[in-house]
Amino acid sequence: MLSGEEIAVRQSIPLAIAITAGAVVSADYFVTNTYLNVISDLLVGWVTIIAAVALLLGLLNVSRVHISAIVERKGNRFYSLCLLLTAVVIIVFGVWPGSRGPNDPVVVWIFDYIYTPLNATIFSLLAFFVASAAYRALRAHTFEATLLLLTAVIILLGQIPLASTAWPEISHLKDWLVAYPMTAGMRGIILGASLGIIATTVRALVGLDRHYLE
Amino acid sequence: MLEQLIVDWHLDGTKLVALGLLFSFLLFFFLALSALRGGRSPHLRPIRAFDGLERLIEASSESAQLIHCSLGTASLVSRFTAEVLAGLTMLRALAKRAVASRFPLVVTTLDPVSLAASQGILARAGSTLAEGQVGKGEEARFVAPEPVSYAAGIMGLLNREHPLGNVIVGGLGDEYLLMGEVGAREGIYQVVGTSAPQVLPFVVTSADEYLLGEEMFAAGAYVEKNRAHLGSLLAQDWTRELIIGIIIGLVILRTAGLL
Repeated sequence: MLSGEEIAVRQSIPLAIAITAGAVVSADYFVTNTYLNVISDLLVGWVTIIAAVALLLGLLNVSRVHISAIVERKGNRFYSLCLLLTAVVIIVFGVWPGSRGPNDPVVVWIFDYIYTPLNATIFSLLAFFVASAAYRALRAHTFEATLLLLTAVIILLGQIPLASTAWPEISHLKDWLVAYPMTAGMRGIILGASLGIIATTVRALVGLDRHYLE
Repeated sequence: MLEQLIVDWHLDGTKLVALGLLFSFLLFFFLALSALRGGRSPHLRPIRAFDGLERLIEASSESAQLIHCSLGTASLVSRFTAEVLAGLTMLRALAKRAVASRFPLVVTTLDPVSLAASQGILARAGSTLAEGQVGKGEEARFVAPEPVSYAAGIMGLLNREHPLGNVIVGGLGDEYLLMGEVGAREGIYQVVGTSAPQVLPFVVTSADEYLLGEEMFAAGAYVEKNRAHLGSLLAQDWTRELIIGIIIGLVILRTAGLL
C-alpha cells in the first residue's frame, strides 16, 4: 500500500514532465528559436514512437478479446478466428527472415486485393446510409426537417446546369445560402469548438486535467 | 551561443492574436476558479443531450443493459487531441456511474494510446468506488486502427450486442454515419458529440441527442461537476463575450470609416 506522500511524488513527477513538455511545444509555436525548435521536434518525435509502441498494446487487446470469443464459443467466433488468422499471416510475412516488411509482395497483395476493396465497399455503403438517414429525418415532420428538405432541394437544384439555366435565380439563391447562413452557422460552431479546445488544452497544460495520470 | 539562446520574438499578426486570446483565456480561467473557490455556483443552461444521457444512465442502471462508449474515429495523437480528451472525460463520468450503479459499460477506440488511457480510467473508476462491472480492463477494446474498419467493427458490435445506449464523443469523419445509422435502425438511444461541421448533418439525422461544438467539451462540468471544468466553462463564456465585443467594435469602426 502506497503512502499519501509516495502517491503525491508518483503523480507530481509525470505532471511536471507533462506541463514542461506542453509548455515547450506551445512556446515553439509562438517563438522562433533554434534550441526550442530542436527540443520540440524531439518531443513530437517521441510521441510518434510511443504511439507506435502502443500499437502492440492494441494488438494484444484485439487478440485477448477475440481469443476469449473463440474459447467461450460465442456466436461470432468464426469472424474472430478469421481476424486472428489474418493478423498472424500479415505478421509472419512481415517479419519472416528475408521479408521486405510492409513492402513484402504477400503483404502488399493482401492490402491491395483484400483490405483496400473491402474498405472501399464498406465506405460506399455511405451513399445508401445518407439516403435512409435523410428519409428518416424528413419523416419526422418537424420545422427543422422541413428547413433541411428545403435547403437540400435548393442546393441540389442550384448545382444542376439545367435547373440553373431554366431559373437563374435558383443558382443565386444557392450561392447566397452557402455564403451567408451556412458560413455564419459553421463559423459559430467552429468558434465555439475552438474555445472548447483552448479550454481542454489549458486545463491539461496547468495540470488540472490529468487523463495521463489515470 | 548566448545570442542563439535568447529567444527571438518574431510574432506575426495571427500568432499575436492567438497569444492574446490564450492569455485572456488563462486570466479568465484563474478568475473563474477563484470565484468558484469563493462559493460562486455558476448557472448552467440546460443542454438536452446531458439530460438524455442522465435518462440513459438511469434506464441502464435499472435494466443492467450495456452502454457503448466510443472515442470517435480519430487518434489522440492527431489534430483531434482535444476532441478525444473530451471523449475520455465523458468516459470517466460514465465509468464512475457504471461502477456506482452497476451497469455494464464497454468502450471502443481505434487508437492504442486512447486504449491505454481508457483502461486506466476504467481501472481507476473500479478501484476507487466499488467492485463493479468495470475495472478489469477487458471492457476497453481496440477495434481497428483505421476509421472505416473501426466503423465496420462498431456496426457489428451494435448488431450483435444490442446496447441500450451508444455514446460517441470524439473526433469524427464521414464514416460516423456507418455507425450512427446502424444504431438508429437498431433503436439504440444515441448521444453523439462532434466539433466537425461537415459531420453535423449526419449526426442530426441519426442521433437522438447531440452535443455540437463547444457542448461536447462540457461533459466534465455537466456530468462530473468538476471545478476545473466549471471554471473553464465560465472562462469560455467570458472569452466568447470578449470576442463578440471585439467583432462588434470592429464592425462599428469599419462602418464609421475609421478602419
